[in-house]
Amino acid sequence: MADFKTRKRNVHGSYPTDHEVKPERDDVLGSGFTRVEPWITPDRLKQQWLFGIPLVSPLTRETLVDDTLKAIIARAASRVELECNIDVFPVVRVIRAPWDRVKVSQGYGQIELGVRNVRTILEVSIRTVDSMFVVNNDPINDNDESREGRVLYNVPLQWIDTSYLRKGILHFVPLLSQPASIVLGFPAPTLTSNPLTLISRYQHTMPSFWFIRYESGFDENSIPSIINDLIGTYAAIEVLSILGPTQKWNSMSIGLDGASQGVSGPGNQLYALRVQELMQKAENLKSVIQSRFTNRIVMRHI
Amino acid sequence: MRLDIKMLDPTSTLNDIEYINELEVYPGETTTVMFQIVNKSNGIRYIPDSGAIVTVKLYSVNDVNNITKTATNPFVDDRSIWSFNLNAVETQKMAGVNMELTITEGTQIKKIWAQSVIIVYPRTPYKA
Repeated sequence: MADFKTRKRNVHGSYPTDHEVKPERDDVLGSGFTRVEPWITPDRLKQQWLFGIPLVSPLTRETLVDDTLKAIIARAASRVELECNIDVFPVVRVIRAPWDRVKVSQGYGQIELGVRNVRTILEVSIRTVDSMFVVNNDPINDNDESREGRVLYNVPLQWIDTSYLRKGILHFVPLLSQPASIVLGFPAPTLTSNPLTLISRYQHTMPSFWFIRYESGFDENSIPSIINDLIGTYAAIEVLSILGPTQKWNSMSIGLDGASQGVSGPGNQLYALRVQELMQKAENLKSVIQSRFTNRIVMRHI
Repeated sequence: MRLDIKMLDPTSTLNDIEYINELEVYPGETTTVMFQIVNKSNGIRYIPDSGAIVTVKLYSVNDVNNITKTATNPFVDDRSIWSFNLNAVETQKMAGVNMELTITEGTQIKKIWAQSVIIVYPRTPYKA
């Protein structure tokens, strides 16, 4: 977790206020109508995705209770997060990215954060790798200052370009009067200059050089409708696949003397068609979400 | 024994309690959160010791917006029922969904993770 006291927002804003400067103030409105919803409740799941479906086992007369539906909804959200590579709920993440001299000198220090739809940059720094470790059950470096490695240099957030955060990419754009190859305002390189300068001059790569803390996902309590739709669809598929096998009979008949009655139905295939429809809908939704909020195809140069 | 909670409609009275799945909160309003502590295995109410302290935590991704409340018994005759108030500032900043409860009965400490019990609506319907 983080306290957000130091932060820089995505200048393009986040869904649904994309392509607008995202104001920090809450009293400034963005888009024109609602595209976000609260978290799905069991009642909404029943009304909007499972309308008319009896959540009762005909075999045991057990009812699928609301607590179970809550768990199924939560699992469906986890599935959406992993399959679509997005964070449904806001998450603070940390990434340690390598020093790459080519990227710094020719690509404005482009760093890929690993997750798209990044909302806020909280820290870009250079930290040592001596983060907290344990010797004979005795924690070493176990304090707030050094738990994640000691800060050698805090990059001013003014220099961080956030215009590609939606794609999970940041750049360093110091816009100084000097060429960008004078990296990030480090002291001018001399024979006696500090290790950071030596690294920037002589090392081509160095693992875990940058330490970046950022927030990704959507606003708290504001889940885009289309993502809720996919969560509800996955939850409905799960519920129907639980209920389907409880439909025992394909056909039943009873005869008494000359009178008889026969009833036939789909049996345990009762919800198969609905599940098939929902799976097709889920594929379509996933495709739209991936193309809108993340990437469907990722292509990289080395 | 594992404990759980059942959410109650905050307008419930001692002899007319109404169970709800989750409390829905609009940001900026004042509200009361009321719940009953129950034994998870049989669903029967659990009455903590007299003098027990129940604290509730609501977490946000932003540490500044975490909320910690101490619950009280709204009905002296039923110590299984607890409640706390949220003011307008708290409902504006809260993240909702889950609650962490700590029940301290003397030296005994019991924990409850209540999932999807507070649903908070988007801060304004016009932006996110």
